[in-house]
Amino acid sequence: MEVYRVEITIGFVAVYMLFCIVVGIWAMRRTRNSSDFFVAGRGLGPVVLALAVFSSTLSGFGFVGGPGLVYSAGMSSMWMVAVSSIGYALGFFLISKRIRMIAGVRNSLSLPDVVAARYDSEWVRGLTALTILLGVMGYLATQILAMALVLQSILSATTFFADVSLVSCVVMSLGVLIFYSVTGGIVASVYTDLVQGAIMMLAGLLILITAASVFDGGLLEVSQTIFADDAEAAMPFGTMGMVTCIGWAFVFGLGLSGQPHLITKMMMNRKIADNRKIFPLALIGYAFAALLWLSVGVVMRAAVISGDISPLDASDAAAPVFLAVFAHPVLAGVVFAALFAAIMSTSDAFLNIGTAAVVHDIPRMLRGRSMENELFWARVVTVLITLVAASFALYSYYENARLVALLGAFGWSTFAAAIVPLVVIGFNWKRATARAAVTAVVSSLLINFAVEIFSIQLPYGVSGGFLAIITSLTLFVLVSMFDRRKRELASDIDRIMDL
Amino acid sequence: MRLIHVVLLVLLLIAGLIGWILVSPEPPMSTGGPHPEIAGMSVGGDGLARLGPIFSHGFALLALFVILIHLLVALSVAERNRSTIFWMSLAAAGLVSLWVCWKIFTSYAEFLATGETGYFLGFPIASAWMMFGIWLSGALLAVIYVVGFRRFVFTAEDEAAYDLLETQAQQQRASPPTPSHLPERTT
Repeated sequence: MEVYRVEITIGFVAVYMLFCIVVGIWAMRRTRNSSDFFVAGRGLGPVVLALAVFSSTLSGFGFVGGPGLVYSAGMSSMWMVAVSSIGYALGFFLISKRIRMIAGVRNSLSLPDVVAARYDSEWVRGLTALTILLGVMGYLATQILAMALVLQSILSATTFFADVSLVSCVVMSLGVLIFYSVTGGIVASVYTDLVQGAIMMLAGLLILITAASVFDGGLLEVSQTIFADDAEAAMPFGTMGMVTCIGWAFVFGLGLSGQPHLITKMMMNRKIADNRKIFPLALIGYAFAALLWLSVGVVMRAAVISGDISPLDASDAAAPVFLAVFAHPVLAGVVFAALFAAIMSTSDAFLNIGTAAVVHDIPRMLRGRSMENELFWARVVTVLITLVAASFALYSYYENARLVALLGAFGWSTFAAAIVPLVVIGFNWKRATARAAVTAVVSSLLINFAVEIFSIQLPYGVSGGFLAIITSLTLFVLVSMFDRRKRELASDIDRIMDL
Repeated sequence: MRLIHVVLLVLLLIAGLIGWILVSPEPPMSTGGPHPEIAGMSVGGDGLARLGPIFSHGFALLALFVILIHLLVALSVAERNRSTIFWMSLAAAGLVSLWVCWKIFTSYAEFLATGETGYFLGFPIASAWMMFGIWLSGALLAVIYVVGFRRFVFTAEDEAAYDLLETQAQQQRASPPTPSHLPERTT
């Protein structure tokens, strides 16, 4: 079977992509209007939604970047994983109920729709939509690049595709992503997420078992090897230090509930009472899938330290090399399919919210109504956003690596700093005002952008995202308290805030 | 003092601590350095030398994070549903989380003092507290959410009130818009 390792991997990835296409065709019949396209008609059940929530959270970064970070910096990045349970708790306690209520009462199709209703402000809608669009471009570009690079590494191992170009790989992978995202919208997205989530959970569990058997002494020997080389790497703050790690606890713990692709899914459930099942299911799913992040990273670090494996050219190679050296060919096939699943499930969620921002929210802010024939334009814009993000990705790869990094700064931490105050506090405190919301979004964009553009290195590894989220939260509360304008809530929003 | 004022106080304390850390003199290797033999890998070096000066700041920052999270959870529950049982269960979860923070730092301090560590489930004790303990903190909140869902989060009365509101909204959407259909405003 070892002889057919590459063929088996390609087979698993091909079957997975074929599945996505079939789901796209099936979902097209269930997508009759823009409400179906953007929020699945708010009719999803708890299992589908739970898997969609967790699989959207864990992107390609969790399968490639995460193990790479553990390989290069020891335990530091495990803070991102450990605090995710707190992040989910915040999301379900503070957001899931009222976002679904406002969406149901106001017939909202997007997060900017909901915040516009909450704050009765088109400015808040526009700024939120703009933040989402900028963040989506950065995120999508990095996901597309990661997907194409992985596909290229798999295909180039065969004789037939030995010289396959990166552009060809972008075209192949995007062909599938665009097909099911355009035809089936969010319906295709969440039903592919269902299988994507299941594959990711299975892969996480199997990889942990494999990783534990690489060294005779199991994970204990792995930890002892890392400890003997550099004790700090095995300790809770890893090599990157205490403040960096605790900063990540804030950015990832608090910030998870500000990720628009995730909280938008909280608008899609059939019944609010289903949240009681969705939360624990999503938490368990994430825990299984995140096992890969931890186990691959520590084993690869220990294997290189002990001389079993040559040092990696790049830390992001940790997962692919682990699969090539230690995993059974069938498991490697499953994990590569899971990697594509992780990337695609996050990408389709971003495509959906980015499209909603362009077709629905920005026109509503500018002219008070969304575009005519919204479903048609949603499909067109989905293709356009993908093509623009792919161009950014390729331009960045060949010409200017800083472009995607810059847009990436508008990724997780910008979403966290800009959106968390609006939804985490604003959905639970009546006195929060539109002026405070605008202040929070603008301050977070300024801090994140300034830190990235001017390459500011803060002492002790304090990140721009950490600074931005604390600043925006504090300003949000302070401005709301001192805003002397008359505070009025529409009667329906006022009643929702009381529940 | 209202709950939001306590949230603001905690946020200001966190901001103050970050400011303090930013102006504190930074020892070498505070965020690690390159591995002497393996390219692409970093090392932390002497933990006491690089993290000792901000050890207590770090603990305070993590404890404030835990307190902030639990205050926000309390903010999410409607005032009339914040019963004694709710406060007790939230306080218990908060205390367990603070104890986890304490164990992370004390186990790490013990290692810094002796250079030795025990292991739990394959990881050094302090790291195991971080990974499993922090995860447990979130899991405890999940338990409160699931068990207390109908008591604190979304009671039967809340559900009935929301269903009525949604039905009214649907009826309004179905009828032609006139000024009388616009939502009333309340101060």
